[in-house]
Amino acid sequence: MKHVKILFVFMIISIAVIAVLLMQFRDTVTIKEYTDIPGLPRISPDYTDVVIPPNIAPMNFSVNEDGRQYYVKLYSKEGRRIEISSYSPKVIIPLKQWRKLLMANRGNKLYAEVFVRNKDDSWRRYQVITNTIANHNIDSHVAYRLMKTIYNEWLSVGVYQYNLENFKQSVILHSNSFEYGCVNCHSFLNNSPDKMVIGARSAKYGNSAIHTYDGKVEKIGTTFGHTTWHPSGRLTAYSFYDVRQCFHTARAEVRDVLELDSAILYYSFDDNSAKIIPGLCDKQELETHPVWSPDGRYLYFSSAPKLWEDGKEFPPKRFRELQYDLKRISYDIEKDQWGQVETVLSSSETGMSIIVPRVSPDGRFIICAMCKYSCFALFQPDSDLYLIDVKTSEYRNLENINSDQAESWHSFSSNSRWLVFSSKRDEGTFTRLYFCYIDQAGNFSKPFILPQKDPEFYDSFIDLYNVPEFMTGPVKASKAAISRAVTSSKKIEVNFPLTGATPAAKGGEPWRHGR
Amino acid sequence: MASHENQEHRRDWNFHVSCLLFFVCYYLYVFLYLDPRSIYQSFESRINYPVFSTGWLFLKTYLLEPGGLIKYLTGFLSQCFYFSWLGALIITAVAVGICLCTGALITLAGGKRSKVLRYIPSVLLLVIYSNYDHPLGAGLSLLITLSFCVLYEKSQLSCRAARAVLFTLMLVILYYITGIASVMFALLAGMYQLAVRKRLFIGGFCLLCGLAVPWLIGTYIFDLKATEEYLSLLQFSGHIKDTTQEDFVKNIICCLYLFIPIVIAAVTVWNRWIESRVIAKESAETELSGIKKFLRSKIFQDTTKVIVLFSIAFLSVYFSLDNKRRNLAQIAFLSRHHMWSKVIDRARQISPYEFPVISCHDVARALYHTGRLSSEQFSFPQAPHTLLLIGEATGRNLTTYIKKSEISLELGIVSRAEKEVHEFLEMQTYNPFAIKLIAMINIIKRQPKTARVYLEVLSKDLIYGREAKDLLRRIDEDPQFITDKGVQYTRSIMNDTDNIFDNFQEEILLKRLLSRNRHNKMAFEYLMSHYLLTRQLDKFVENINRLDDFDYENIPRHYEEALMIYMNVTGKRPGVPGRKISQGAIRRYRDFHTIRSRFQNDIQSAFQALTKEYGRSYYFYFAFNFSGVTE
Repeated sequence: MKHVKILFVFMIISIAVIAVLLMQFRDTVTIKEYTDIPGLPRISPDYTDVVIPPNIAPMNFSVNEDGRQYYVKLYSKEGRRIEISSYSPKVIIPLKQWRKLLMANRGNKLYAEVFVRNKDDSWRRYQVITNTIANHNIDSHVAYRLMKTIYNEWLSVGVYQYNLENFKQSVILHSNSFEYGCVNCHSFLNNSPDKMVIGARSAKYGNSAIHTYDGKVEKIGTTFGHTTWHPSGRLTAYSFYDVRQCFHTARAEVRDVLELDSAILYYSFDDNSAKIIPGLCDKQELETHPVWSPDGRYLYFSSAPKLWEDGKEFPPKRFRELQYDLKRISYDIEKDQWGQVETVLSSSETGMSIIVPRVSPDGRFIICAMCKYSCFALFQPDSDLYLIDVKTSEYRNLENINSDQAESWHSFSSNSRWLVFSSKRDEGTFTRLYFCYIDQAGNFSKPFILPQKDPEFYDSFIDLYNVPEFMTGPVKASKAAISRAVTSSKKIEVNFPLTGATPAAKGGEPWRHGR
Repeated sequence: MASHENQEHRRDWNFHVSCLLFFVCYYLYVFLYLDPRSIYQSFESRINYPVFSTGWLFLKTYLLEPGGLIKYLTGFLSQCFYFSWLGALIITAVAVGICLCTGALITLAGGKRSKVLRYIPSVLLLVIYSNYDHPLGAGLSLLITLSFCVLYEKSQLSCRAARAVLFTLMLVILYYITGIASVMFALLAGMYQLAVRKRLFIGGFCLLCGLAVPWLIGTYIFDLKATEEYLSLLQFSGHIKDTTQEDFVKNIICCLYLFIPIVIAAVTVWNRWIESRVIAKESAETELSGIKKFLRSKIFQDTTKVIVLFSIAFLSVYFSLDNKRRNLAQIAFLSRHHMWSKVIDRARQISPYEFPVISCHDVARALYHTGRLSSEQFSFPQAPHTLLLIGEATGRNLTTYIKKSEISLELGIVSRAEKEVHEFLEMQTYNPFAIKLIAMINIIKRQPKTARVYLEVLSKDLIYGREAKDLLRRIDEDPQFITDKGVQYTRSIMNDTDNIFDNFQEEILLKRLLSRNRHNKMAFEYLMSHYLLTRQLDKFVENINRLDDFDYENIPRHYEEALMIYMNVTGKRPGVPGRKISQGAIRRYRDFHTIRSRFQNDIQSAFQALTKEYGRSYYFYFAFNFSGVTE
């Protein structure tokens, strides 16, 4: 027994000594002499000259400069600086220290000094990287769909939620929980995770919209396309469409999609019924991408005249002439009364198709994607984000956040200060999520990619992010409960109010929406 | 007493040496006949590809699910199948392990005479491999479960509480390692405690715990649906969830798992029955005659057991060996490694009446690459639309997707190659060859940044990793691959005019390729083959002048045959400048026509009469819509 005690004490002392030595070793980088290198160090992801949310998780990065050792100092006006020394070019920032530093320095600059040790043991220092810490928090979570580059087949599609404050990702609903159906079109009421609808399509369990509220889950027996919540939470408007896929023979993006027919309907949670919106189910028009204004008085949407006769040919000859206008229709929720459709911005004015409108929660701006043709921006490399002033209807290209690749699928944070959008800017293929800050005057900061714990995460990540939506917290309903609802036979029966479907076009099979 | 035991041991060793021979034969059969490289190739046709990648992140995903470790290990060991000798060694090692554990469990249950039985699970595994399936995950799960069971039974703990604690601990660990297969451990341990050791409390505890622990841990820690957990129990292992597996293989895996509990139960019952008769038996033994004595002798019994063992193994494998799958797997392997002559040799061994559609495609491709498509295509069964695998008739499955992609890339239809390989990758989630193909497509399309991401993924693959790293280095040095002749060639033949289409048609695709580059020989030969297969001889004749764009000295044999038919059917004489139809072709056509006319409407007799001489000609195909027959 005595020996055991001695052994135990010896082990404790050994561990303590090793720990102290390791700590010492870690902090013993003292650089007395160094050479100043003009220019910023090459780092990836590119976290230079960006505006950082004060509550975001550490923005770890890799230093893409040759060296034996790396030493990084992070500091701001207030608080204790963070020092990181590593033999690997990966700079992993401790979460607690990072959070303290950012919280203490809202509105201040954040500096990163990068030192690299040469082969001859001398050090070189690069120009200081300067970023700005915003005054406004970003919503703590973002929901998105993850999938591979999908054509006709799909197996693994999931809607996930990601905690922007600590990198944690979890599943909201995954296709593997209902025999590889399809998951899409998730929508939250006023960025709140308490109320959500999410679409599930399954050959076995049928198509449905899953409605979660206050931790409860119910299955609605109809398909919602692009869905938008009325700010009251009493109804959603959604698009209903027949989308087909076709292929390019010599283009970077092989895929293209076309809406052969579409309409916008609304679903009332008061009496669980789907209804037609007068003027938005016109057989000669294509109406899609509905979105409510924050006051709930207007429903914005994209609309284009159908340039072909139903069922004649596929792809239609004038496929590449299809351009959508931005329109809106007024609504009085108390009387359940719709007004007249009015054009907000015409494609003839912009020369481009105006799609995916999103109104900022403060009601000042609409951001939409514009591209030469089509309703599906991410397949159009020329797709860019544009800002429309709600009061004046003036629009401008958000040049400092756009790239030469496709940008689309954007979402405002609940305080209107942050925008998340999908972009293929890195390689032209993989859709990644980018964030930027919007100041009071409507200026947009340089976008930065969704931070990951491993700074080299994106180097070998072949899944695509899709349809990001900000949330102020995690979804309350559990993954298991949502999956159970999808596979359940218990559902709210809904009478579909549209009749006289578009005759099937030759060739091409109906394509799953929202890719 | 001690000397008697030594003698018993020596005799046991004699038997086991014989059985060592069994496993040597087992290894050689797997290595030389089944060829694990072909099994590795056949992973491609499975939904659940045994994924493996180096690095912590990959391992982490497996550590977060029950049974993840066994999947990780299966993934790792499956990569070794790329090397036949190593694959065979792994298969044999698992079989030996299961055999040893089964033997130990039978002995623990008191079954001293049932030596052959311990080899049955190994034979069952071999039956599955003979079907070119991949039961490694199920085998490993079983091996680990049985090992735990042996350890537990040999632990000899006397305290009831200690036994319960040890069991629970082992069950939890096993559940984490193998997933729901751990229920097998609980079942066996329960059976031992109840039937062999006659400990009711601990036996009942084992059985109840075996059901409750996976449910509790699965539901409350891993957030799994309870129904999912126990429904998968009916199939014993996650491995069997693979929808591509046939019922036969599923049933064999069920037998594999059920075999041991049944044997244990049977041994226990047998022992009890024997116990009641043991005194009478002992007195009878002293009165045995010479022959009876010999029949009861150890040597005779061991020899019989060895013969029985080998017979069971031979007959099981003989009757379960799926030659069709073997041919398919081997042709797929040879084709993947561009061993074109061997593809053709292998195809010759398949009966033309059982020739799989997918092999028509492989053979046509092999014939093209050996310069024999235009002269020997109809030496094999052929079917329209198998050239590019277009249309529903060719199937919509993993194998066709990857083959569509390969052939499209070779021809220069890069957008189709890209589409099809993505369809494949979506269905299989991970496949190193598909990832390499996508990377190459992106390199050809001058998208090195995209290629780099795929190559980074591939660089963590055990088999393709080195190649990926080499390609990454080349991207750094020459991002556009200007110096790569293969890439440059594909760029010179690929479509450069953007069109939109919603489905694929051979004629349109191939003619576009020829209008892009009239020297695309593969596109030309495939277009002509397409016309021959679909009997569009007018279009064939329209394009015959394209022979001048290539280095044909004479008119290829099948083209001559098609021209002869065309001339005789239409009465027209298409000009083939600088070339003449050979006298042999003319004579053969006349002979064929004469024999065919003899039978008028009796197609069956005509078919039989012409098979031997003309079964490999286009005349025959044109007349009977069949080819590649000699008898």
